[in-house]
Amino acid sequence: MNNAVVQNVIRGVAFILIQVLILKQMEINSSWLHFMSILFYPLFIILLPLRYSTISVMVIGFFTGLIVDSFYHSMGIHAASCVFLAFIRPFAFTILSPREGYSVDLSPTAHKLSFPWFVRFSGLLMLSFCFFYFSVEAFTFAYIGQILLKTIVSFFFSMILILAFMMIFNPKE
Amino acid sequence: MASFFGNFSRFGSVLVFLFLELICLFLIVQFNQKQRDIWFYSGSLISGKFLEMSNQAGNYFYLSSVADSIANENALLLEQITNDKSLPLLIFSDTLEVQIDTAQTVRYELLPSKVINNSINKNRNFFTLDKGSADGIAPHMGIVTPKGVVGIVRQVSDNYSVAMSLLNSQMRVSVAIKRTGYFGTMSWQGKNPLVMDLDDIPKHADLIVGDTLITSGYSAIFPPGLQLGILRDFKIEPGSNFYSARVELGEDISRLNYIYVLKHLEKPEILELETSIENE
Repeated sequence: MNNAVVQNVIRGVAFILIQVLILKQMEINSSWLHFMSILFYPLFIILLPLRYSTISVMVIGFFTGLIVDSFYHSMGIHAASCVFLAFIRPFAFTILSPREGYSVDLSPTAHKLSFPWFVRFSGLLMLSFCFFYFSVEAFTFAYIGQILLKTIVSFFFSMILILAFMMIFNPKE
Repeated sequence: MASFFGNFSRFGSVLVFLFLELICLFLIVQFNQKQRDIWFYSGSLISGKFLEMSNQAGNYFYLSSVADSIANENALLLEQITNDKSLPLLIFSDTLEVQIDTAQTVRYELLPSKVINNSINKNRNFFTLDKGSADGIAPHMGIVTPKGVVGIVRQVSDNYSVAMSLLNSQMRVSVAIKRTGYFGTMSWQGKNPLVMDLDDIPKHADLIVGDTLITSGYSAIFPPGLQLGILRDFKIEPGSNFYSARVELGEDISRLNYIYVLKHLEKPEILELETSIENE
């Protein structure tokens, strides 16, 4: 168990706790925006180091999602979304690849790469994640309008939280 | 660059992705009531659609047997009408009400059959029926459809028979003009499959374009009064005592499908009588 793995495990546990203990309670108590879910824990998967293969990231995402699901009583929905997020992460890397490329031991943080790059990177992934999540939750495209509304609102608030976190803590790894 | 994304090939990661998503799908449907309802509702919609489609396809294959049974039923009904001696003989259509003295009514059995091979492009055309001697068909039986006469049976095997089409240069049909009763002979010259020639109508007969032509009944093959077609045009060749006319056939033989074979029930009796005179 090297340092990076321990750090990632701690970060994963912390993010999941923030999600299920704080954000979920907010969601339940906020009657004023019932179609909004602040999704913060996907940041854990987004920040996983580049050297992890897509398959291992997907497996990590699967179990992360299952844990979150067990708190949300929505078995499989978060897991499906996390696997999807892990699957499209390499495509986001490819699309947003900087001119000099990536170095092997990189974590996709604002500290290692630029802050604007991280905004684009996390924005792309979170938008996909939110859309996938609400699609799976609705389980039908019959209410596509509602899905899109939820996606945009939740994406907006989730991004505020994620970017605030990155600005405040600015993790290296 | 590429080395980042793959200790595993992209193909492998797609497989793992699909595998994990399938597990998630299973979990979602298994443990979430709302999604479960949607899943099974959509499932029933889709399976319902498939069942409907397969049902329609099945109906399509079923059609031919339905048509067969309807043809049998029609034959039975027409037979009853034809053979009911208390009724005036009324064959095939309302427009053709041929009344014959009930004493003259001959008994015919109608055998429904299907044309399985047909030609119209030769000088001597034949068609094949899917029934033969096993079903009671014998040579020299007439073949008709509700719209008119179409041919005569020539060769019969156990399960099939070959019939000479009206569109055969050797075919001669004795016909009568329904309105006036003059009779002539109809034959085919090998050109238009919808048109036949009509000869031997005496020139004092009064013809009108559109006259209905019926079988004359001067043979045991066809009962009198079956519809054949309508008179299309006519002329008298110089020096001739007979009309040369053309007849438009009622039935389009080029798309023959279901037909009836006419079995004359009293034919053996007639033949016996006729041969007894020859032998005298």
